[in-house]
Amino acid sequence: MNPERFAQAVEAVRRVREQVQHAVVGQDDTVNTVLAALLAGGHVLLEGVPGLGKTLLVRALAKTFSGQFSRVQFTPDLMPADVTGHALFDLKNQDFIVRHGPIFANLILADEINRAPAKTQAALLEAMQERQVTIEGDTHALPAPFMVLATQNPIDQEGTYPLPEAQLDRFLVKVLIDYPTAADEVTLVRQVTGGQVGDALDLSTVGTLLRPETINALQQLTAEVTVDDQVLDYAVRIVRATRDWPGFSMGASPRGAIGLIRVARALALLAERDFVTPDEIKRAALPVLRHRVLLAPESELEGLSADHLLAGLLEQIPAPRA
Amino acid sequence: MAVDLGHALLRRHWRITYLAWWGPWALAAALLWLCLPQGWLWAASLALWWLRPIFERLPLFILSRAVFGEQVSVRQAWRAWPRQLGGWFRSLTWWRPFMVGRGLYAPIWQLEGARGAFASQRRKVLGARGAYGVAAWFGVACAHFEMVLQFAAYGALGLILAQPESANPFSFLAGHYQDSALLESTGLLCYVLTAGVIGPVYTAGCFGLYLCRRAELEGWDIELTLRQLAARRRAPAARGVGALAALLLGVALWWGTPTPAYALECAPPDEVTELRSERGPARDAEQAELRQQLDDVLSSEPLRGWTCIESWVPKEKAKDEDDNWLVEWLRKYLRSGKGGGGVSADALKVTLIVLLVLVLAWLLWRYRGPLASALNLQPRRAAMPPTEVCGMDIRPETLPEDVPDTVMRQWREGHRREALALLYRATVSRLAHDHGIELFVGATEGDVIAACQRGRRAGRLPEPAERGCVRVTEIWRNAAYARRWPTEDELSPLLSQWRQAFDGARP
Repeated sequence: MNPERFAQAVEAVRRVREQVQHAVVGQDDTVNTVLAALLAGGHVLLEGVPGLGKTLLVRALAKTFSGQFSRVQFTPDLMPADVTGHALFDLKNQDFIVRHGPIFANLILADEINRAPAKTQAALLEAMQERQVTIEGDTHALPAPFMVLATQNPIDQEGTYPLPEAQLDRFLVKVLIDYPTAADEVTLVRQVTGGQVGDALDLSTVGTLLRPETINALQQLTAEVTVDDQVLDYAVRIVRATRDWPGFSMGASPRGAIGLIRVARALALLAERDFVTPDEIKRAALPVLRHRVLLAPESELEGLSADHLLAGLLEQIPAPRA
Repeated sequence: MAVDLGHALLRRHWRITYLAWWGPWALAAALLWLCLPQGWLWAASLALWWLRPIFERLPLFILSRAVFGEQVSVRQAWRAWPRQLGGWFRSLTWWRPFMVGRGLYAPIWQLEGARGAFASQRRKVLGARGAYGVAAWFGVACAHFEMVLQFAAYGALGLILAQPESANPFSFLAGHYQDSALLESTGLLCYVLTAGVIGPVYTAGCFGLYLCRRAELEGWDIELTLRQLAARRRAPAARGVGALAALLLGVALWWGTPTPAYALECAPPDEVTELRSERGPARDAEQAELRQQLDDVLSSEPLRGWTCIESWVPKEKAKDEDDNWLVEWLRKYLRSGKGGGGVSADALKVTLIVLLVLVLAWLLWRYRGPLASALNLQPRRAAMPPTEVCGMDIRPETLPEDVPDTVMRQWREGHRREALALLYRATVSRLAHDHGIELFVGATEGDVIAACQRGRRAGRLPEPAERGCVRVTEIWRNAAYARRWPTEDELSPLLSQWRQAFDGARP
């Protein structure tokens, strides 16, 4: 890897992170993981109670590069065509014209994805996987970079359509947004209420630093970050352990190990390193695996979460042997 | 709701359950009543109370089969009872009979067959989320209800036994029956009756709690099972057995019930007759009338000074009412003390206090572990450092005497990876064993650095050692995962620093 090119990439990523962290106060880990997912070319499922800055995070991220941003509020009456687009008959030209849906953007915020019926969810998730949409028999490629950030609310589950496990696998990471610390919350409130009418999200401080092409280049560079065989083996061992670990009824698939390596590469870049260490694998494990494992009923009854069990597993799996 | 479930189960199978309970229960009560001498019948109630965990296994056996639709006959229950008594000695020892919520745990032993640590784990799981608390409060409620019933039984008997002019049905308790076998037998009878009613209720309630807890833990479809059970229950029940049980119970009650006192009319003892005969003939009619009035008053129960017992009394008891060796011995002992020839009562008091203190001390010593953990007094044992971290053996005995020299030698021989691996392994070993840094098996390089920083903040790790650890980790990471090797010029000063930081303080 060209050191100069790598240094430029590190600098660009550092500036983007600073800009987003400036807007989204007290969510450094979340910002890091979302940026890692962007660099790894994956999609993100954000889960957290309302008011923790999920939308702000996505909008701030979109503003850091001059890409297209769109937001889709998922509701029970949302149809697949409302997301992907549809064909219209143009009377003037006597021809069908295709009207692209909001999915044709670089960054998509799918708000409350679990409120839409399975058909609409499937349309979005298929587009996420294929990175293309078929309308009236014609295939339309989605712009690159293409990233979906879907949010869901852990409370108020009535009238929702939970995503099936197989479709959750399409998200590279699942990020749990928690409440900020007291000090961060004070900073946040001061920042939002200082000389401002209403509670609109102030993104004026976030500057546009990159172009979509730069993001593509960064993604390419991330894919070139060195991963030693021992580290690769460590990631695979972690994923394989989830399949036999007590407390899980279903472990992660090989896609989990692939996801681990992809995110670990991005985290290494964010740590300004051009090679992956076991620490990156470990840091990537929770966001990458927590939605790919299925808890056994007795674990759920005992009040354990996937994070609890995964943390225990990571403590027991030996890191690479020297 | 869970207790209601148990009671619904009991209502459906009350005939068999009560019959199965009352068979051995009444037999045991009768045997104790017959065997124990007068004055010791209180021990019969105590023994029956102590043995209740054993009797509770019968209703539990029947109800546990009934849940799954298996109709157990009384004969089958009695035949199976000896097999259900596994661990009976254990269930009667120490604090177990005092455990008011023991009914919740009884199925773990009896039905699940769990033993040892597994049983203890099961008890923890089943008793969690307030389940044991509910069982204990239910046990307390049952005990109170039993007590109320016992008072009611006393009251009912008192209405019959008390003097016709007495308004208080409990007056016979304080009356002249106080020492009589009748009073003791009445007490035993009341206890047997009430415990015989409440015992299966308690067992069924606790079994309902147990089922509910397991349904909660394992997602049983209780309702479905009970519906199936109800369908099977419609099959003809053992009505003949029920009738027989009722008959047996009636006979047992009749046998055990003493004859009511008001019906007793014995002839006065000889001395009373003699006393009366010594008076000689009356002077006149007035004196005869006065004598008659006096005799009438003196022959009333509170004043006549003799009792009439029409029940079986053991011969020894009849021979000597105060034939209690302990009381007799104590009396002699204390009497001799008063005269100055023996040990005084004060000395006896001191001896008893010393004995009490010794027993308390022994109990504290015997249960020091559980007590310490309950009071959170147990000193936290220092965690043993692991033998393996990051897949490396970090036991000090596996390291060479002089680590920096060995590292440099291996480096110069061209074994660069081995040399740096040894250096990193020695660093982690020194951190864990010399500085008490807590590491776990799956710790990565980042975890080791984070642990060093925590140790530094806690004052367990000197700053040079922390710096050395960070530097060694950086070099190790670059070598191990990126194949970037340091030059010898970088390695030599690092080894010197390492020696100072980690071997400087070693003897």
